[in-house]
Amino acid sequence: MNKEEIGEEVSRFIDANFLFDERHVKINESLVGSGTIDSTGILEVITFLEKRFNVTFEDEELVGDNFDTVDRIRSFLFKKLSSNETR
Amino acid sequence: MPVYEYLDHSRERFPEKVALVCDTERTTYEDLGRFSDCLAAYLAECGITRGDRVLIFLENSKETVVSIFGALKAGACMVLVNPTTPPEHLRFITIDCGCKMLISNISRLPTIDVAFVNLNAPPRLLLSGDNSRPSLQDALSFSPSKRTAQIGDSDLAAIIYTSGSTGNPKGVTLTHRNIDVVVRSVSEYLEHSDNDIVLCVLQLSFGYGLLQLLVTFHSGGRLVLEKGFGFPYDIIKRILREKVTGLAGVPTLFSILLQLKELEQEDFSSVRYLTNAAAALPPSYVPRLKSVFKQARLFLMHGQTECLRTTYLPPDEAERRPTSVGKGMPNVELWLEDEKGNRIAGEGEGELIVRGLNVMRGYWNDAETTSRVLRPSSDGHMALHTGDLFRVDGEGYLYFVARRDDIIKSRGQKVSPLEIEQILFSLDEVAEARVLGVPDEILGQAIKAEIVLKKGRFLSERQIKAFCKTHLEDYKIPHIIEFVSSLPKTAGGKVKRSPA
Repeated sequence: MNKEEIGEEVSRFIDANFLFDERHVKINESLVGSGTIDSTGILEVITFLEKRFNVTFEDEELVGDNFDTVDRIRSFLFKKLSSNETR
Repeated sequence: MPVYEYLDHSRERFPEKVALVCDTERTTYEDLGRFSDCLAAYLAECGITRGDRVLIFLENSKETVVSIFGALKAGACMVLVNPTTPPEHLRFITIDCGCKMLISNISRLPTIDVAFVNLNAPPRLLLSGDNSRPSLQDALSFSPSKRTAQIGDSDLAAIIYTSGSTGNPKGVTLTHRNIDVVVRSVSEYLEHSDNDIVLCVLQLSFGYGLLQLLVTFHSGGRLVLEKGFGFPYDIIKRILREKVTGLAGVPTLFSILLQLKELEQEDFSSVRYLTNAAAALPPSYVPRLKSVFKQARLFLMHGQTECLRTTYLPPDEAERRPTSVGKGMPNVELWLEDEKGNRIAGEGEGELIVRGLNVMRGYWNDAETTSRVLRPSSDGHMALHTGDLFRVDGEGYLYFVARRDDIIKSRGQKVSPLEIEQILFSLDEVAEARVLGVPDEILGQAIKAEIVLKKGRFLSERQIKAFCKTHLEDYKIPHIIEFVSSLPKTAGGKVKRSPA
């Protein structure tokens, strides 16, 4: 799965679970800062990602730098999945 | 002591000390003192005087702290409003408290504009980042002059709106003395000092959050102020980097932190205390928190906006009685009364009654509701009837049982089912609706809405949540929506409140 496909899947999950109107999440929108997702919602996103992509996140990976926008999530996840594959 | 003097006294003692950390910005007591003096002078210039209400509609930031102290120094009463408040509520609160000035951020202007449509005599706006009129930044460079408003301890310092069982929010009025008594009692049992560095992830518009600021500034400590809980490991990094000594939490925050797998390996030796209030901490959290925060004393507490804080459990008792919130804090008298209003002696269950200088003056503009909670108790003297039911054991320790009314406690915040039901009923497709709190490990109680749709009409869960999101604060949006064919009724045909 490439970076764009990961991003699309993450966006779909956020649209369906956190944006209740016709709006779609923007790729560079701060998920917490814009009020789209609160901290308990972030845990839901993380749980979804772990299950869907069969990954486990380390404690120190659970920071805004990796998860606060769809763009950051897809880049981080793509890198993580690629490094898992090469192991 | 007027509450703003906390800042002035600490400014005299520690002018160059960093008092406040927000994100990457560090501000000294001297600068905060000067900014708040400038703002107070600006507010006075705008005609704000003793007792006027100044509404503060901001997320946690340096501007919020400056606005709190600036408004108080101008002699005004601050009205702290949750930053996610939707336009209808903002309008209600603005009209209800008759505020003369609203301090906010330009990013909130769309909400403010909707709230103030056709409003007679809207308040003046002072917005951070505003280019079209004098902004909050302009006010902070206004020439500070000597304060003109002379106020006393019995003047109002704050109105904090809280959910009422009748639907509309109620404004809890707190005097400088109310707040000062609580700040001193809390400082005493937490043994607070100028060495303390407190991490506050709670909104300052929430009584428990506001106390973090005030207790810290009262003792000359440092407040690390976050906009919210954010991402789990970012909180951990903050604690480690700032060498935080005190962490104020609610069960949701602790639940988020304890999801991390390797917390035991971090060095939290700087943390000397943890506090929990607003909702009961699941007992299983106590041993885990103790194994993670090895040096920290855990204080399990109870309070409500109407009296800010009532009890705490001495930390040594936390493992023995993890479900107790302890006994009355210093300077507060409290006891339980049964349904007939008789004081409970020994073990038993009843409503918590509170008397002390911490008890609010009443609800703003609402004598009727005030008289229901502030009324003579069994001994004939006035006391606060909290509506919180407790059990007391043979040694006098208190255990929260439930609310006497239908109020839901979610994420530590009070939520009125009626208020949400009113929003749901305004949807044309909805025939019947019932909102309940259901137990939830992370939230304390999750908000569940059961909905009966009119025949032949359809609404999706998503449409309902979208509608709620535009009409309710974020913590009031139902977590669970269940479509049902009918709701249980009482003999009189009313929808039953209890889940059965």
